Amino acid sequence: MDDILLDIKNLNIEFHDHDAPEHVVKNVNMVLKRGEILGIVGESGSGKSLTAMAIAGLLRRHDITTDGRIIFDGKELLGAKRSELRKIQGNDIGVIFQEPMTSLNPTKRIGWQVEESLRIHRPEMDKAQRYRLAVESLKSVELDEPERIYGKYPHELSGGMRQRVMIASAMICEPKLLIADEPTTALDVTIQMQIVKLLQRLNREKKTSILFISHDLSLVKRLCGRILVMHDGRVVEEGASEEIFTDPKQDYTRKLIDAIPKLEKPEI
Amino acid sequence: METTNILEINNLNVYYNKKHHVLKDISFSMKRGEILGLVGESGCGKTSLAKAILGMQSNYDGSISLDCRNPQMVFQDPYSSLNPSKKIGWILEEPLRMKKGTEKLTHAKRQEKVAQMLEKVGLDIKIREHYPSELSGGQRQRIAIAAALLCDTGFLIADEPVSALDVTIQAQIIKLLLQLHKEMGLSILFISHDLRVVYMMCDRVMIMRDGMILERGCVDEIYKNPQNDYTKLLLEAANIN
Amino acid sequence: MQTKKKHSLNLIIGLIITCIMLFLIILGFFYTPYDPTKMDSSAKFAAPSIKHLMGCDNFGRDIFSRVLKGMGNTFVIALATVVIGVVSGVLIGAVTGYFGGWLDEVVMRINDVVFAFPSILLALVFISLFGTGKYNVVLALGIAFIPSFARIVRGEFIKYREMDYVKSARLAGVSHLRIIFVHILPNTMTVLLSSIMIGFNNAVLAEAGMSYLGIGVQPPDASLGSMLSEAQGYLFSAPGYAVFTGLMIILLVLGFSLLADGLKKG
Repeated sequence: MDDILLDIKNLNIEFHDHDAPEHVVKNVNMVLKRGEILGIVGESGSGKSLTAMAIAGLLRRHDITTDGRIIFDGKELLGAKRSELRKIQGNDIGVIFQEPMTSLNPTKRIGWQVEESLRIHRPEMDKAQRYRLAVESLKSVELDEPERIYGKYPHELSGGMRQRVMIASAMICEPKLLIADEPTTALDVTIQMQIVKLLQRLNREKKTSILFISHDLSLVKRLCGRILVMHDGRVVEEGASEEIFTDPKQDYTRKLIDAIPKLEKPEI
Repeated sequence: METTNILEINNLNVYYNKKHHVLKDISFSMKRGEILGLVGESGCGKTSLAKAILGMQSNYDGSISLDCRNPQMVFQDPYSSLNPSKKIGWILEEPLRMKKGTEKLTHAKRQEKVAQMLEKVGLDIKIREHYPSELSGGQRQRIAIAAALLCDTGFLIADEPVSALDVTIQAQIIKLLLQLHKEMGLSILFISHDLRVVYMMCDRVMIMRDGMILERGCVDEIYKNPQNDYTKLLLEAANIN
Repeated sequence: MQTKKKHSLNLIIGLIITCIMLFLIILGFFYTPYDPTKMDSSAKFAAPSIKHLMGCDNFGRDIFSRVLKGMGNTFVIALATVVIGVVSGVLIGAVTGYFGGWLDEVVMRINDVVFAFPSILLALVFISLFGTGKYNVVLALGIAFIPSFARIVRGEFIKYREMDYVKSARLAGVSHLRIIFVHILPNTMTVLLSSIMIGFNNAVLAEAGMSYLGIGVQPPDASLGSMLSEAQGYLFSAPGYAVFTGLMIILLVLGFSLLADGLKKG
């Protein structure tokens, strides 16, 4: 197999739930290599999250038309059968979302939720095996006392811990790709840093490719080797992080970099 | 005149249902016309402090003296800070409608004041006819600031006013606040978790955690030479140093 | 610029059905082809024809005329019921939801007790206390409907009172009363409106049920429920009677259900 894990060609997404169709993702092309951390940066409405949802197969099927190709690990995802998609979701592709408050089911224990994808993708496993793996997974996201966390409910955990739980459940099947959609935005800055470090470690140790979506350019720079800048549904610039920071080619990218608050007083 | 304190807080303690001690012995003062930064993460007691200053917190001990009428607040979430079912013009006129007696304003006078204020916060007058849902986050935050200023206040608490906005918009709102500060001599208590934004806005800053003020002083001083470990951690997270 | 959201099909169909039904009801107030209570022994059980669109009943009364009149009665009773329920429910829900505290506890517990009984059962209890008749049905059903509206409005108020714009309004010196009625109540309308529609349907069905049991509208006055009850005896000799009356109830309820559903999706 070649070293390209994800290859998106001419992806277009259009919404049809209003009188006039809205073209929200326009001719997006991107390539993600195995073991790479790719950052997608853009402001709200840039289409970055929709692109990610399209990869994960989480877009609604009515009111939305998609066009183009998403080739993941040699398989075409766009237009794949639901059953095909379901085999990949959670098994080969894991997703973590922005809001750790709503991305966990409030009525189920942590352990149950972390094990969920095992129940679907590893039906041959018995209860004890699942328990062992879940605890291991909770441990790997640096949660103290994983056995105790296993039996807790989401509301008993802090935001940072919940996001770790989300990562643990997304990583339990050891997916080839982890899509992280603004995973740190809702968290405190010191916790953000911990989560970023955790993602870096998981990438290094488990060789998981990560698609990291964020509006925070400085955060993306810290984590990702390569950056894709999106604006108004288009990819406006792509390149190595250092390069984009030191020598941005596009005005929009420059504007984004300039907008990072500097340690100086603005002139009024 | 310039040196008088607009806000003085001495030994403020706030409890929730006896068990939770959310503010522990807070004392500080703010000069008239100053922008004071308050940095802390969620659950550190920032919001309780703001509520106490605005008189929305009943069970506290210690003293709070605020030498300013109609203190106002700008909130973090621009989506919940404007009434979704009212037009912008209506929202901005509402504080003016509240004026009673000799201060009572006619409809025409109210419209005039709203128009002036819209210009001040850099928005087109046509925005009066729009609903909040039709505006961007940055525009909404400008409206929220305009509504606060229409209450004739000299003191504003800005609770994470830019954290929910896109970076390019953040810079604009910061500029606007600094401009208003300069023009109107507004005193602002600026609450934020973003040390870079605080640096742009404030001269003095207080670092808060677990209901206590850990460190306080001039921004340059603290950023260059942090004493507290937690402050160091925050600076590292913000990629400063 | 955002374009307008597509209207759902439900909304359109619901609107069409409801408009037709409303037209028939208003027509019934001013004009019926025959006197709905006039008996004509020669036309007993007459089959539907040009002369009698829906045929005649056991007394030779024109069913179409009776349906028009009966729908009017049913509609007015349902409307009055909903008005009582909504006005009281909104007041109770708004005050308890906004202020909270012990008042909220006490009122909502009473509410829970009332809510625990099915509204028809509750109305039956009221009827047995006050006696039968149109106005008592309205009063009984109205009271029985208060808790459901109070609950919905209270929930909305609890949601909105925590929003920042309400805090801003407080800081700007807006009074509690003005916040409740001007700043919050209009925002609950979408939710309230669709539950009013559903409440209206329940009222139509409840009225029909009670008249069917003979404790609502008294003969010779007609309502859809009392007519259905009469029609039952002649299900085989004059099936049109029951079918047309039932159809009208279904259409009335269906129209409002679709409308409520469409509004909710908005």
